[in-house]
Amino acid sequence: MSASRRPVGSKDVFLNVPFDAAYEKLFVALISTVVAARLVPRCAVELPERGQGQLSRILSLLERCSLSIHDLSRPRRFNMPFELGLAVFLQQRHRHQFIVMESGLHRGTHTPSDLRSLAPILHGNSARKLISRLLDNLGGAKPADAERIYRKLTAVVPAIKADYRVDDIFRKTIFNELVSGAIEEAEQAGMED
Amino acid sequence: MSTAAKKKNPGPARMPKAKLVRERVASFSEIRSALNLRRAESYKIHKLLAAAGK
Repeated sequence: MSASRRPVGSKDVFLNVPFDAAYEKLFVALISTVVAARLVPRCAVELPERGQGQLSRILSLLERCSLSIHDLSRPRRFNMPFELGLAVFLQQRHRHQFIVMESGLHRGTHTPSDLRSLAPILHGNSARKLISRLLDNLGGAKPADAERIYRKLTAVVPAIKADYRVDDIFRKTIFNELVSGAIEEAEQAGMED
Repeated sequence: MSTAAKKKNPGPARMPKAKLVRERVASFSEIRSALNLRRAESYKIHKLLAAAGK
């Protein structure tokens, strides 16, 4: 793991989230918020398997990001707390930062006990709360602007899924569609300085 | 250290977490470039968004 591979001040933000249908709206909210804040959303769905293994691909992507966001509100994948552990390592050894999010319901049951002293962002499974509380941390945009992007994207998600003949949005093609759409909406709203 | 001395020399400021991350923000073209996104017209979502906006 070489520090030189991770650009200092990278604008890339790694999204460590559950890939399940119930999380789709919050995933769209995260993409909308990160783009509105003019940071680069990155996610494991971008990474095609080319024989190097899932862990190696995720670690490589995480290393490139100066910030990672870990939503432990419903960690269906055991990998999620593990990936948070990788982020903690990078924070301790390099200039990485991370944000932990939880729903607020059954709080603390999913967060590793070593990290319970941190103050997670509690979104209550609400996209609106996620947007406002995450932007409170990131800055760079008004919640109303990110909410507008979120509402536009959410409205077209069913059509996008139908176009690609897929049942979920946790795929590279859909991720790229959503980011491209979020950028266009942000540009149209005049959010570029 | 007295209050007056503290005012003169408050010590190193603690950089807020978000500020450290946001030393630089990306332009939207940089976000496209970082993700290797193609031209907007090649994505289906743009037609859908335009249709939804009508």
